[in-house]
Amino acid sequence: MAAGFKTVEPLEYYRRFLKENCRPDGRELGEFRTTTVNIGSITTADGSALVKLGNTTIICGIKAEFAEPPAESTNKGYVVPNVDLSPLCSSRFRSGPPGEEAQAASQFIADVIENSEIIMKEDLCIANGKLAWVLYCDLICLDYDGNILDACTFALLAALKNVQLPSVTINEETGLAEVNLKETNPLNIRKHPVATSFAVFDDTILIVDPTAEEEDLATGTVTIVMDEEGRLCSVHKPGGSGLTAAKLQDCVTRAVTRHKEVKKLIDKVIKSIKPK
Amino acid sequence: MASVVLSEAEKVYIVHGIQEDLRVDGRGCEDYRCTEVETDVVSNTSGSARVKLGHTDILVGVKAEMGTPKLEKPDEGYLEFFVDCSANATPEFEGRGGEELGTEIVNTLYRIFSNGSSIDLKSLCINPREHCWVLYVDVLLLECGGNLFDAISIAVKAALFNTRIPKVRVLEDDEGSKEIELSDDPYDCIRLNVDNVPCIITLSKIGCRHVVDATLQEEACSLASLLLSVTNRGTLTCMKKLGKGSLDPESIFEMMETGKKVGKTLHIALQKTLEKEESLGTTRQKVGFLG
Amino acid sequence: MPLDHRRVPGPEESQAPLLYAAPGEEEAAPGREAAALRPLLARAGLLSQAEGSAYVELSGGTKVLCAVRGPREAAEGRGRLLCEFRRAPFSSRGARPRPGPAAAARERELGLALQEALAPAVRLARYPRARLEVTALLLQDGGSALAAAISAAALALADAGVEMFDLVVGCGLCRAPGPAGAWLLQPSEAEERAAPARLTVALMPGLNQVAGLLGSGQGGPPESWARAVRLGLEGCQRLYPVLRRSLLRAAERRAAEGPRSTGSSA
Repeated sequence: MAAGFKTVEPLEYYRRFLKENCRPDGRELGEFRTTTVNIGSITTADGSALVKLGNTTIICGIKAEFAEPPAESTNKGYVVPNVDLSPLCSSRFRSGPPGEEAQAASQFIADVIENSEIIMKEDLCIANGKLAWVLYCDLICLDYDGNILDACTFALLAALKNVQLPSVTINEETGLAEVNLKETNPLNIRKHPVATSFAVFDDTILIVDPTAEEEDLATGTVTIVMDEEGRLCSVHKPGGSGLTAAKLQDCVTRAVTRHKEVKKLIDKVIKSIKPK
Repeated sequence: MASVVLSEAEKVYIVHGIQEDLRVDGRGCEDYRCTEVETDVVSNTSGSARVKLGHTDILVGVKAEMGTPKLEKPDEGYLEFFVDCSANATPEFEGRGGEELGTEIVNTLYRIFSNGSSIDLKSLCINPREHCWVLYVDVLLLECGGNLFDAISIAVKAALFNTRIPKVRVLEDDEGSKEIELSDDPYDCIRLNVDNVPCIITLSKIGCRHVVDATLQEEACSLASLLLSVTNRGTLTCMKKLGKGSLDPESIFEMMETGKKVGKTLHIALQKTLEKEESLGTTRQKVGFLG
Repeated sequence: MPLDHRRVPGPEESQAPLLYAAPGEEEAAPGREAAALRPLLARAGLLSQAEGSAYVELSGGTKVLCAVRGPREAAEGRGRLLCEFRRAPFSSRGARPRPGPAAAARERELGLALQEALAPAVRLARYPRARLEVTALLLQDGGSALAAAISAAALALADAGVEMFDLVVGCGLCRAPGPAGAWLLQPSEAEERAAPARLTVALMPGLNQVAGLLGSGQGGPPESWARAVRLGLEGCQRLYPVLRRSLLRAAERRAAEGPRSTGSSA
């Protein structure tokens, strides 16, 4: 009976739950799905992480390569994020070049990297004007069940923390780079940005960590990115219904607690793989 | 791929005939159709060949251009393949229809030529890291009458045999800068050694026997075929199952043996034809396309 | 190079650090038995959004995820099986492949090989005017990637409840370097790189029919290739029980969870 009601009147079905301050999957409005992270499972990448947020699964693999630094700032390297949403993760996507949502997500991640100063691009320079690292951060969605921005940001952070770059010296005579694969160094992660997404229901009710179903029914979404010092790195509010300042303040408060949860989780996972 | 629609009765007729080692056009299971090979048919290429195998008609042109060696193989030249499935060949190639088949042919050719034993890629190098010859091999399908892969491989081999690459010398001056000098004599050319270039033999499984050089009608009766590339010494350099059917393990082994036998004969015949044609020199009467 | 507005721009050119590393740093692979199989982990039914899915991991690194969508209505004609094979940009050792026609062509070849290996097993005649879409994603290439993808795709099809004659099991092989090199079963990536010849076989074990065969290189005379095919088919037979068990486990798990909201549990 309930299944029939849900199919015919999905929005009404949801409202009944929201009235009781809970959601069909048993969560409270401010509750995240179970979050798991697995670091360094892809050995062909220089750094990798797999993040699961309930069903939503994102894998991030980072490949480091050499390139000439950009002409306008010769002491910087590059970070190139790319979010891939293929038919593998959901039937709503087509294969081929990135679609609208993938482009928007890639740009969002690029903005987070730029604004949060997660790593300084100056750290990626090897020889001024000659050689710098490019970090290709490929985020692939394996299972699309809503809230990919949070999962992507988390996967990116975890993978960056896992990166080990080989040491490089420039040969004075030939001017060519020499790489020692046996000696590796981690990246200098300066900030830990964490994203927290909300869906807005009926212009007023806020629910955290929406599933794909909830995202489709919601009237708007908002994503807050915050670092460990409680500074806002990015507020992403793509259209939809408006939000009062007080509600936005609630979001920010929730984002602060979410940051603590995520930071604790990532520290625990990194500690668990360190002893090797 | 180009296909014909056959009635059940026609299929039974073909299958029963093959059972008795007698095909619709009178051939046995291991016989090729009459093959025409002509080289040097396009004057502005470095080498070219046209092959007519029954109704299948293929034109291959090879152009040698100077390029830079690939980073991972600094002392080798390389080959690039392009296949044009002309809409003239069959109406199915109109628009983007031929794209999938084109990719499949190109990938098969790369597979055969990438392993370094087919053509001595080092001989295409001019000076390491800087200059090498790149051979652009263009395959044009003029008509599809079954057994495309075999015909293409014969045409590619003939075109490579026909290819002449101008001789160049690398001059180095006192400051270490290099200059490339082209020989003045237009007949001063290097030839490629094509002895090890394999030919593709496609064996189509029809009923419980297999045939070589299937016509379009026979291809319509076959659910699975085995593509083999066979060198003149009878070794296999590539094998691939084609089609949406499956094969019995035992029949695969039989097909490989047949492929080796047929391949060796094909190589001998092709070599003889190419040499005979070349020995005629300029006295050879060109047949061209209307012949 | 034309600017691609759909992706975040990076530098125009970049090289893998591996090219600048001193050669010979890799330790030689330990000697191994030619017919040894690498342990295989298979899981079916783990993606929430696909009708069927499977994950196959070979110890040594190869990781393949596969999803099946459909049967979905097609515009015209008979039932169609569409296969796509994708490599994650970080899946291979060395340089990250740039998105472009060359990479797409290589992926298409493997997609076609996947399709040719699966087509004999799927009862497409039961799905008129419908199409089945199979997507395989290679997350890490540790050797025998196509073989792992074939097994994963067949599992995913079965997990989706698609009618099939049999499962398809893939097995990779390569020839050890040297004039009389032996054929090795399920080679690692390093072994594959050094090998003069490689082969992937796909078998429908219940029917003992070869569904797919793709190999190239200096494998020698037909007798040598025949040996390889035999060894590969034997390997497939040995992997079959592992795949069947994973399918059973997925079915049991599903039964315990109750009927799914999407798809049918036929």
